[in-house]
Amino acid sequence: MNSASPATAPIDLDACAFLVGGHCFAVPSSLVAEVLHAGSLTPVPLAIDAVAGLIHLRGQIVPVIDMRRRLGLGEGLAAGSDLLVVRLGGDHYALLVDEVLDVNRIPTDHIEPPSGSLIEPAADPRTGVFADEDRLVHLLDPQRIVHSLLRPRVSPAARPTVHKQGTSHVGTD
Amino acid sequence: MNDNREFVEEFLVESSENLDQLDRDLLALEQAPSDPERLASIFRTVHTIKGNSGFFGFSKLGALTHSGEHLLGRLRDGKLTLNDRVTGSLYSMVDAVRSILQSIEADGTEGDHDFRDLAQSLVAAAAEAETERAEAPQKPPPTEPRPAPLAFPQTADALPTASAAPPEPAPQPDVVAPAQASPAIPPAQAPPAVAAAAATVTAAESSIRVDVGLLASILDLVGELVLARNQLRSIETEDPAVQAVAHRINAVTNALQETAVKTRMQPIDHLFSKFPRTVRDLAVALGKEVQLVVDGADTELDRTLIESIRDPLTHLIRNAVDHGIESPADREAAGKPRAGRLLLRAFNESGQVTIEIEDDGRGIDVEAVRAKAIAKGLVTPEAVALLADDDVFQFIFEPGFSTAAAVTNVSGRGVGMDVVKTNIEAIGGTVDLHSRSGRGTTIRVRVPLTLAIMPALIVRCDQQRLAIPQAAVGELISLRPDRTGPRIEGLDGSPVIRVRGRLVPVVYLDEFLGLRGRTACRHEGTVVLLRVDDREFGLVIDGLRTVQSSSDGKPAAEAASLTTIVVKPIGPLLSQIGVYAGATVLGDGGVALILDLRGLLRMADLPPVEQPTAAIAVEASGTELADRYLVCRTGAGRRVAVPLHGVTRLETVTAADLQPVAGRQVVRRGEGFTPVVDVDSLLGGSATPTPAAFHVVVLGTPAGSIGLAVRQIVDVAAAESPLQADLAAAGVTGSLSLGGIATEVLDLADASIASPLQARL
Repeated sequence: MNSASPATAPIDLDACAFLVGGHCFAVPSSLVAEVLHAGSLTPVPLAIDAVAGLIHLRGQIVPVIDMRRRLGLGEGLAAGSDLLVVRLGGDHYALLVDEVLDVNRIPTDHIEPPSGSLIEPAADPRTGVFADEDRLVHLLDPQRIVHSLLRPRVSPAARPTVHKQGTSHVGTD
Repeated sequence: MNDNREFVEEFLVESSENLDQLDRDLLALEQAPSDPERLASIFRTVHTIKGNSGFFGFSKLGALTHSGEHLLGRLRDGKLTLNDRVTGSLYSMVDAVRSILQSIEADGTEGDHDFRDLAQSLVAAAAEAETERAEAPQKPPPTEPRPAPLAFPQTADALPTASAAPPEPAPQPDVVAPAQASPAIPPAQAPPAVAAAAATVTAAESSIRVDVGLLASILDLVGELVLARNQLRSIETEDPAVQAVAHRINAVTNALQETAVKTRMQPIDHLFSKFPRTVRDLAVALGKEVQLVVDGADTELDRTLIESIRDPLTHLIRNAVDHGIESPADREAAGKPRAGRLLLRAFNESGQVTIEIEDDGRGIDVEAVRAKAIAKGLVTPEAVALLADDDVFQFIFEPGFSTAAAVTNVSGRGVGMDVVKTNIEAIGGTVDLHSRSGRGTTIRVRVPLTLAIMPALIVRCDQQRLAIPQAAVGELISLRPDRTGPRIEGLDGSPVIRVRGRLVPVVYLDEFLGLRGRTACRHEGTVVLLRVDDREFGLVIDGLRTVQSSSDGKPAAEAASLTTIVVKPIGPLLSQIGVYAGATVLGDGGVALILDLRGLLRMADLPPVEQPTAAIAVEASGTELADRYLVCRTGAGRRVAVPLHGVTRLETVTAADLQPVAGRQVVRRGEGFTPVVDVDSLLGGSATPTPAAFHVVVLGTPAGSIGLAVRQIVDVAAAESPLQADLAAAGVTGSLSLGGIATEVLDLADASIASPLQARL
């Protein structure tokens, strides 16, 4: 596990803190697009457990990731949950959290590598931990939150392609 | 460098357009080697790139274009005449410039490829051509196969990848008046008509370059406005002033949405303009002569779709040149002109864009395809004999079908055609193919105008609202709780609905989506009949979208379930589920997921349902079929069963297909005849008058095949009771229970069946 900060600032990290299942987490605030109160979500049948549904955010369809399920901290949303919308590349994802707190400036040299494991290491999105005055703040990499939820892309034409020359330029997806 | 970034990007976009123009100009120049305007235009383009590369300090590019400019200058001034070597060098230069530009775009450097050889060959061509000039002063457009002039890695094969480049707005027109005719060349030598394919006239002043992301966000905002408009409409007011404003906002919003969607459209010329070069390079490499005719390049299509069809179309065109069009010698031997003709045509047709690729080459040998399909086990010899030629060609789209040398050599078409079909179908399009041996092949690709908006049916399933693309919807069937009218039946545990004699498999959407553990729609609800890739199936839903009510319960204007929706992407996390193609925002602000019917069909994995027209014997295996029967109804209304193991295939026959031969009625199929006997007369009854169309159960017997004429194919069912032989009668071995009803079983050993020659209709 590298001890580097998950994002941009080399010295200090602006991190947006939030609560999930009684624990405190934070993501780099540079990736946060917006904070909303969780209203009604449109359910997405057949989606994986960690996807709580989707919201419509100013013309964009944004999937909602249930952070309790994602972090293995119980199920469902607490009353008065918040949505923390993060921007990853061109896509937006809304993280369903119990409560969004505030933005803290964290000196990167105070960040320790994460210890223990909430969930299986490959899916663990934590990049470090920081001891705030009275509690531990776990830093999360939004990229990792989303990435392990994505299946390796399987081409719709997932069948043996035995074509000979001249076909290489016709992609299968 | 960072400060320059913006300018460099501008330079890259502009140069990429200029290179496309160069390709077009060079092609036209080959046809009319001394067209002074064309030469001037080429010279100017190269000069511009040279100037810009000097400005940005791209030295390789500068050196290369300088050599090219030198060569072009001599051509322009009439000191040289164009020949194959010069043309080849110029093409190589265009490719080299393109490759350098790609490198600059990728990492900001000119790459480590050394182009000095090429620069020297340009200079050499300039010098050499000069000496040749005296010998061949007025060379006509070349007719013999030319040596491949592209001694350079960036050849035609790499062309399709060049599309990774920036967005492609309208082609750069000739801004500078191109009237610097060189006095050394008589202008009369340039036939004006040849330039037609290349001359794309657009007014520079009437178009601007706009970032695609900006357009997309305008579309999103318009979508927002539409929602707000819908909310405004649902507010009840007596105030005529407010009503008038609301009405006006409504009208303007509609117009705005329509206009905004148009910004996504591009003429297909952006794609077509690449093909002359592709065809030219391939023809040169193969020693063929191909005349490409492009028609309808101004047909407009959503720009994202243009990107999606780029590779499939390139593939089809390469196929046509590679396999379709014969060598000049073969063509002359076949009494055709030496040069093959390849027609590329686009046009609008019933809300779709049709693109035709037509060649006059050797065509496809349908018998070779038949043989191959049988050899690959795709179809039985009997079944394939019944297929029309156009249906046989569909096998070409089967995965891996044409990789075998047999077909590639004999018919020469179809390497990777399944990939082409998959890619076209992925954007909701279709591909079909017609061919006549020795005469040529036509491939027709149909794609929707746009994927951004589409008509869709909004349906209700549990608490969920879902959108079904209307293009796939055939009809709607209501299920009635009292079970009158159409109902869903089980067939081998898989539900089917009977639609005018056909058995159509159905999917309970609530069960499928996991919304309910067990469907609530078995006897009530609505079946949406859908057709996807020639497969028909039904989707059982709760109903159509509930009528939206405004505050006082009065139906609002937007009550129809069939609406035009704006498609929004759903991102990888949701699209990986495989059953949603996107989402749309409904008038009330709610979101409906758009069903990806192809994905749904794949995931539902419906078992094949034997159809009256299907060759059911294909999957037949003796043991499985021992106890199964095909239940039919005869013209006189008798319910009879045929042991399934004796059935070769089922056909629908029209009265016109019947021919009297030697006192018997026969159906002609391919080379052979199948005698047809009416089941009623077989059973000792009188034959009912022949209806206009009826079903024929074809049986394979040791003495040949025979068809049993029946009115209706009812079902395929397993025996529910042992055969009661004591109920045997003429032509009947006994009775048993099928589908809960006692049914007579035909005796396949009966003389009139076992020896078809005696059969009478």
